[in-house]
Amino acid sequence: MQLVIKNLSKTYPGGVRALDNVSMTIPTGMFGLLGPNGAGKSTLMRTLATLQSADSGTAMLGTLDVLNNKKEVRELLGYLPQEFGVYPRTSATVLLTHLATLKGVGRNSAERREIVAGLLQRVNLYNVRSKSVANYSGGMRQRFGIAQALLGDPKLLIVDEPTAGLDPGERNRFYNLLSEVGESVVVILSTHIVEDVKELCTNMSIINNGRVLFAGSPSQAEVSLEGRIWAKSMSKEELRVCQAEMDVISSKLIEGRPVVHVYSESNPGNGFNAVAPNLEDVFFSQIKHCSRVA
Amino acid sequence: MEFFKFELRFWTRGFMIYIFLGIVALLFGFATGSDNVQVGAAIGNTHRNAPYVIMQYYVAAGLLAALMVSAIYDSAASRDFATKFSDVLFSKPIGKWNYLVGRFVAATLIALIPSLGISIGMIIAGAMPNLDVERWGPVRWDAHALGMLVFALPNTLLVGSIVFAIAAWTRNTMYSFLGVLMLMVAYGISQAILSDINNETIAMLVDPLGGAPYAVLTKYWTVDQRNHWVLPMSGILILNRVIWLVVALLIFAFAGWRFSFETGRVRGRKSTEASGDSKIESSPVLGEWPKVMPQPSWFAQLRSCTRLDMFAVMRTPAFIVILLAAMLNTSVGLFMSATEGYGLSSFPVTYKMVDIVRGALFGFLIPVIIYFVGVLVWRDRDSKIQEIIGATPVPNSVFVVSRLVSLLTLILSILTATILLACSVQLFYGFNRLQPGVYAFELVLIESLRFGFFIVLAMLAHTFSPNKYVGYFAFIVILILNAFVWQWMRIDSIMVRFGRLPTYVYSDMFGVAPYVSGLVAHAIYWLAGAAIVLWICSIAMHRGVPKSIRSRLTEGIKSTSTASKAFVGVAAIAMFAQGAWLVYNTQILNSFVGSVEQEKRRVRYETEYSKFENVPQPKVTSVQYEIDIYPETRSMRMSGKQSILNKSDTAIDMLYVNLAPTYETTLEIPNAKLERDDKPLACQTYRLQPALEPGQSIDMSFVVQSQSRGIENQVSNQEIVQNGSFFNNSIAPHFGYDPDRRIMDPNKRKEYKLEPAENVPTLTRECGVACQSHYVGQDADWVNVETIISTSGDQIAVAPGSLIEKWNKDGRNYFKYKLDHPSLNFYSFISARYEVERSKSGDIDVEVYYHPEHAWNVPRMSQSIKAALDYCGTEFGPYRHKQARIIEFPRVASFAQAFPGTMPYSESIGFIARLNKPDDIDMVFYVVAHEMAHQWWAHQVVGARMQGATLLSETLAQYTALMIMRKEYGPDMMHKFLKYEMDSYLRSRGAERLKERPLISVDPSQGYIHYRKGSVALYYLAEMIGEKRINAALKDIIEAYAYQGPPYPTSHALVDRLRKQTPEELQYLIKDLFEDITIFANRTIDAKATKQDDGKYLVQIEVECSKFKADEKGLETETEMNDWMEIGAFAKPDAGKRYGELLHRERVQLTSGKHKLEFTVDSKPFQAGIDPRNFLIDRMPDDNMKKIVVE
Repeated sequence: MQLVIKNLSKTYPGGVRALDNVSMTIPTGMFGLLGPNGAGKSTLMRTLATLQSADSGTAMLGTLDVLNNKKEVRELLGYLPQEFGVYPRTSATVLLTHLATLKGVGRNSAERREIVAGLLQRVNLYNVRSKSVANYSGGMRQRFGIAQALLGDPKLLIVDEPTAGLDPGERNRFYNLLSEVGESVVVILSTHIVEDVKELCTNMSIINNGRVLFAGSPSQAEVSLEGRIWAKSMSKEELRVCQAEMDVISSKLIEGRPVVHVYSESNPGNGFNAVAPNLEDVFFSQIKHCSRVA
Repeated sequence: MEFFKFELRFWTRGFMIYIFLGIVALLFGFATGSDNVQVGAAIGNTHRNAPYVIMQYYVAAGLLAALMVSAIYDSAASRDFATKFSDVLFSKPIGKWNYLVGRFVAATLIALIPSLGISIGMIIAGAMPNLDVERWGPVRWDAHALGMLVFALPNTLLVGSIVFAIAAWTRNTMYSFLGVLMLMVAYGISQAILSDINNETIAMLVDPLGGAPYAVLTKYWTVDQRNHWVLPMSGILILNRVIWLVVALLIFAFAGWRFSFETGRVRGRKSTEASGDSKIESSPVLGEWPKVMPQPSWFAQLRSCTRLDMFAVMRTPAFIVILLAAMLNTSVGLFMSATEGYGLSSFPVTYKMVDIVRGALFGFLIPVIIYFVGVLVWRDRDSKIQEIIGATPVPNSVFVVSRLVSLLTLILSILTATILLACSVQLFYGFNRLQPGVYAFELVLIESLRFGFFIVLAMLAHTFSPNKYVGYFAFIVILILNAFVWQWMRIDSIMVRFGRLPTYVYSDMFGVAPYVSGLVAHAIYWLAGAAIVLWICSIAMHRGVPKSIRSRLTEGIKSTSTASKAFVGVAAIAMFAQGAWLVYNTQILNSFVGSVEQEKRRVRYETEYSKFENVPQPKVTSVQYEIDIYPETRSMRMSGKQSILNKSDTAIDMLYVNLAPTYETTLEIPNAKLERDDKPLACQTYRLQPALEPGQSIDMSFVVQSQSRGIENQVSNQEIVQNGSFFNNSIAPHFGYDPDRRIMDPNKRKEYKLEPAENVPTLTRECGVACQSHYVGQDADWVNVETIISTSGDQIAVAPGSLIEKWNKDGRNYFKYKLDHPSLNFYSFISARYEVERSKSGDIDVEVYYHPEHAWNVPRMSQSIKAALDYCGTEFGPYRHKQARIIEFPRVASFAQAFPGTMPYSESIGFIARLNKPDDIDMVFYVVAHEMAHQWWAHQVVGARMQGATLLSETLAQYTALMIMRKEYGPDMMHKFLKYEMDSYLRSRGAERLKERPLISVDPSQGYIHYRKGSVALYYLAEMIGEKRINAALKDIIEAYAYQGPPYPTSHALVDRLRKQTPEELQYLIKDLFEDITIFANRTIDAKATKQDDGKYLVQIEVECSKFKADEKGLETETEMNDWMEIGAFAKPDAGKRYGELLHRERVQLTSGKHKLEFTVDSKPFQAGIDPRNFLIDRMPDDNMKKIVVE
């Protein structure tokens, strides 16, 4: 089963084009949706999660028309929004059981109890299951979020910026959990963190300003820039000159000195060395070139 | 200072305060300018902007402002904590008191702004063009300023300090809200205490908002005083204000003392985080939990949502707090039970308990519901879980229905708890006639419908609003519109008022039987309507990301399932079909006339028909009725044959006939041709050919019918019912222009450009035409009546006169009655399932017809009838009927009325009165004695239709009842009774719509004069000249006028006779009591006593007296007096009593001013002074006596 998105467009009342003729094919497994903040990732995710409607275009999950069969989609959907809250004074068990009931998970309350308990154990919240979710720390709450997204064995799992606010350890644990589920179902992971995609995803897209800039596997992406990325460590004054004159993709501070990556078809010389392009270079170059075109 | 400025800037830059100001200005502007919005005071002749009204508004605004004020103070105290700015702010070196005082003073200044709206609204309303100049006085800046100073400022400080203290201490808005609620409860308690006039002083002090002292101190203000005086001159108002100001400052000081900058109690927030977070397997193995394909079930989802929604409401501190306050308030109400007047209570019958619950609980419940509908609709969004919930496979209908169901469940559980509470109160009072059915119907069934419709409408408002606050605002706007707009648009059908059910009255006699069909039909209509609204709420529900209402609607409609379409289709068809059926029933089968249309008709009646006012009309001399009552179908047919006689000296060729509007009448008058049939006014004009010559009589017949036809907008005929039908012969046709159909309210008359008019002709000694008819009815003098009346087999029907014969035919009961003596053409017909208590007084049958469950006071009623028959028979003259009956009728009306030999008495008054303390005033006995006295005063001697007529009937009936009661219960009871009468008289003067008249020319509409002042005046006269002399005068009137035809007596007939009986030195009394409005201001300045050698006490008092005469607007001018006044002394009262034994009284002649007097008493005196028993009309009766200093 794969998710095929064709020519999806969405313009907000203010005139912002959040999705501009987006087409992509998402196979089973982890799919990374990479883009800066405000690129249209969340709009796409929410549209796929039936929370928002598109102006035009289609999205088919197998044979299911995602945009027009909201109820059916919701039955096989697991969704973890970018940001979410919970009801006050409500424990994890109560809330998860409620969500399980809403999703129709479990034939009866006993079965539901078992499923909820199992899930809470999975995400290691079982010990704090009767504590109010509202008082959880960021990581615990995110784990609760994944637990609810996994309710009912979803065929389509959408997780929107799931690692925001997590410390590195929590992030790793979270991805372990996700990748296990991701083997048999469609998992869409949106993020603006390049590392996430690199580590987890077999397929990815880069979108910016509502448009797909790149689609393929992360390694393909890196290959596409082979031999065009050059790096140099320089002083801050040099950087200013360099930014005016060259196609600077990114500049990072390493040990207090800017290290600049530039895009160039040929060796720019001047102390620049060729580096193996990484996904980050792809990401920045795509975004940069895209906005330059636009 | 910095905080002060900051706070001021914060509020003046925001818009909330201006909205508050605007709301208050609008509300009081409208209240001042319009007759439709009433906040209280400006009735009758009081100026719309009188100082009294200004003060009343400032008092009334106290509670309203409390809520607004609390929002401001709460924010001022807790904003820094709520926004977590406290962490930044309090790390700076700032002084605690500096911070608190700055904030508090600024908040106070700001919080006073909404109160300014009262003055602004009133002044603007007074500056509008086209005002009726007579109803407006000059702008009274002093009153506005004092209103601010005496009420707004201290009340704001009080509410403010409480809220500020709680908010600064707990940092929780909810508890501040609780504080305000408690204040309201205190206010409610002071109101409850106030209902007993012996507790006034306490009530005046405990009212935190100062309304009680103002109300008590101004209660006797006349129109003139209301228009000119600003504040009552009394220390107790100042004391009240000072007490509560001090309380406010103490609370603030306490709060300041307890306040600390530390962020303090943030409950359990960090504590839970540590556990469980630490160890998580590095490579978790998945696939262990059971994987089940989802099978969403609508009901399971609904159940889960409902549970969580209810949980969300119930676990909120606000809900618990308000619920507790509501229950407290309701319990107080239930325990106090209802008062019946004269400080009495009634049996806690179930329908009363229901009314109390509605009054005491719903004031809390309705705002709570409004609040929580918003909370629930926006809950997912507010807790930011909407994306998770929105992505679950749950149809919108689940959410919508769940909100409705959870709120209804909560309401029902509260109501159930309240019902249990009410039942316990009933049992507590030893009253075991619990009526679960009545509770279930009124509080469970009817109220869940009403609340259900209410909730659905509120949900709609929120669904169409972009956020919660707009939602609340929109709903309040809808409620206000729904209340006013339809009337304004002249649409009277309740079918346009969402969720409105026809009004109904529960009676122990008929239950709600007459209203059931209308209630059911409208309930079905609105249930279908509510289903449609729910459907709209469901398709347009806020789900997922915020969307415009338009896109929600289009998307919603697009994704509607077949089942959902079918649902709304069925609901729409049901509503339409039921609506069509209702329109057919209410507007085609039946019709109803709106209130404005009704007024217009009355205007037209006056303008078109008043010219016939003095055209002679025939008089009825005898009537034979055949009446069939069908209680099961609420129908009735009355056919009558009557003889009419031309008693005038001109020929009558035109007949003007008034018909009963809610009945159908056919007339058959020989030789008469219908010339005009004015259906809207229900009046017909006939030409008689040949004319009816003087002295000639003809027999005519009529049929009056009433049939209940299907469902009405509101049940129009409450006279013919399943059990307890009660109607009088005014439904039969009547002759001549009926001046009582005019609009009499002077302001309304102006509105319709009608000339000012008097209710009845002005009193004149020499009266011509006016004395030709009496005030009870102009188309007959004394008539003979015979009735055959039938009803269903289980009911007894009663008509005037002796029961001649009784039989049963076709399972129906027939009765034949005949009057034993010609009587007024004014009598009633009644049918119900009665129990009858029969006894004899001489050869007169004494009968009480009562609902079998209302037997409590029946023996007392018979006893009172007998006492009245004795007294009146001996003192005035013989009773001419062979029976005296009291007949209970349902509580669609609450009065007792005297007809010849028959006194219908509403179930809501005497029958449920509870007299359990020996010193309770026997209200039941009194009312019966009063109605019995009418058998002489009205039914034997009846006044001409002229001012003062009711002096001859109501005042004399009042006097007679007082004498009978005095004989039965002794003079002490009478003092208690008269205290209420005096209070009622003095209180009502200020609300006079016409002109206050002296007793001799009292207008028939001025009950407070002919009953209340009449009691006081005649009792005093009896005290001064003696009961015997008064009765001699009365006997003389009976001899001169009983059952005599025209000319009918005027009030002069009575006053002249009383004057003749009054000794020379007391002649001034006749003028003071009957011809003028006389008020006294008597007081005792000093009282002391010295024990003499013989063991007696010499009492020395200094008294001051003055006498005033008031004009028709209450403007008083002092007048020289040289009156016989009583002075005296009381012994120490027993515990719980107000006065002890009367040790001494004597009458001395006193002039205006101060006097020193002395007398001796045998035992130790306690109090002494002037007018010890409060006979004279005096606004400050309590300063008549002073505690004696014994030397």
